[in-house]
Amino acid sequence: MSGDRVTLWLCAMLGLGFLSVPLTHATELRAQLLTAGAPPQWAGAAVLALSLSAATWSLLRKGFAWADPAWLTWSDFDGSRTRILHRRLLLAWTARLAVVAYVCVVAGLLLGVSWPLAEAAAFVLIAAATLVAARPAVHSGRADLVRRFRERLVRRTAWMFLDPWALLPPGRAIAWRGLLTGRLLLTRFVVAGILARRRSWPMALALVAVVALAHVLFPTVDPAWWLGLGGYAAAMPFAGGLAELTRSAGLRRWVGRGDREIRITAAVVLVVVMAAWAGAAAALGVPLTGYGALALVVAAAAVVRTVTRSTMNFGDLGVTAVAGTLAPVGLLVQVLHGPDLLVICLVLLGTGALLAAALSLALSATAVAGVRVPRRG
Amino acid sequence: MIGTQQLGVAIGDDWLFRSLDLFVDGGECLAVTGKNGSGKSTLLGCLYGTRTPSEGSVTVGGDVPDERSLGFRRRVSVLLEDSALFDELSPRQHLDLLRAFPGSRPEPDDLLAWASLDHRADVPAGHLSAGQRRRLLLLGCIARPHEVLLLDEPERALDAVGRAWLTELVRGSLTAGAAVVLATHHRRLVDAAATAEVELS
Repeated sequence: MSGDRVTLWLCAMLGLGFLSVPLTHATELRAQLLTAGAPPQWAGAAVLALSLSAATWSLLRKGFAWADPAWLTWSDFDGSRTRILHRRLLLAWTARLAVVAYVCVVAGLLLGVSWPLAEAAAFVLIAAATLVAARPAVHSGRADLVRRFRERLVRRTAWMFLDPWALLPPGRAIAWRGLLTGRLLLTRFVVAGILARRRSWPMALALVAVVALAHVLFPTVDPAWWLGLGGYAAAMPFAGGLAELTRSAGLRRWVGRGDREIRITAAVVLVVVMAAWAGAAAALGVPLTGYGALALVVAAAAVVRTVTRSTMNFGDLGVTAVAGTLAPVGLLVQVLHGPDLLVICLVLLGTGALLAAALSLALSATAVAGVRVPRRG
Repeated sequence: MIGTQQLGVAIGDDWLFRSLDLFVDGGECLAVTGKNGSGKSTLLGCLYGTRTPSEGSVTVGGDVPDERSLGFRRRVSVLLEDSALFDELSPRQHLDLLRAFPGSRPEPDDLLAWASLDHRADVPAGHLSAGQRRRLLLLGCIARPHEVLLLDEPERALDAVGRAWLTELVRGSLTAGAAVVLATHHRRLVDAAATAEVELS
């Protein structure tokens, strides 16, 4: 067995072990995450609706309907194209149903809700309707199949090289002639990057619903955590412009301002975007405390830190013995550049201490300003 | 303005070029010519600080070239292989963006008309043809104040009219006092604009 396959199996085993925790330790988790009171009656239905919506949306993106152009030419002769695409559709559909089923089972165990016949019937009906709606993609034309093949190739390469931020959405045209005229040019440029990614607003709003639901289901968890994590995920696509600017020296040359000024402006604009997002969450009942507001600032700084990280350096694996196992610590540090700030600051904010809040803000400001320790030698 | 001393770049055991002593002052244009793979783009990379020489030294405006420096980027305009456009922004929005550079500049409408891009002024750059994209990249180089202009095969994707326009563009930059270095295969441009020529082999 090759080293890659062993690693894959190891990751799969670890993943399965992690996923089995809620099934085997439901009582302990309930005690940790829930108060003594029972969750609202609609909790189960809400979990089902959100997870089914995500699965349906994911399948209807037609990611399964791809074809390598070289294979496509031959498949037209032997007629295997439709059969293989149909098989991929069924596999993609089954995988998504399995995830929804897992989420519902875990939610049932943790929340203590049972699944009445009406909800089970809705699950089956929506799952079947999704399959029917996705089926025409099996007959996609050559251009669509090849386009999705290329998109898939980009996705696989990005994940293989541990660079998921290369997958942030590209911008779309903004029909606003005076967009970059007038004062505050840099702010206008950052706002343009956000407007160009307006397709990501529905996802951000869906995350508002997820955060509101998470707060209702797990009331013992500090809402600052939900706001921080949700705000980070919601704002990430809107930082695509900053990510492009960081990656492409050719684009960077169009902007006659310093890197630090750009990062600070982006962070400020993202805080404003997140404030609007958090307003929607507050409208759905998530309490917006002082620490919750700080969590949004921290999340904005973490987004900026994430998308402006250097390209991965695979020469710096930093293999170190951790608890008796050799781990590529250097690689992990690079991968977690950005989320690390978010988690550390949320833990600090969770202590409720004033000094911890000040430290979180200082860490965030340092991350955005890009203060770096000079390398030795 | 631009100077090199005993400049050399080696790839493995082979030297692309070696012992290169150049000096280009404001208002002068050096044309770098040579076959594919002779090191023209590499030389421009050395002048812009994106390529480290194997030996010798380079100075631009008295400093070692460093693209990471904002001050250097503001003084030096370039069209290199990695030059790019924001696909979602129009040519007009690109030129508006250049207002972030200090100093005075021509009106975007005048520039776009001069580059024959006025009828595409509000079309996203992602929808422009290869030649139109090239014109916009070239406009971006000269639409802001600059002391040095480095162009790597600027004639690529331009039609006959576009190539004549390119000569005008280089001459305009020279008249404004910039030091220009061109890496090119376009003989007419060399004859019309260059004050000196280096052929790499």
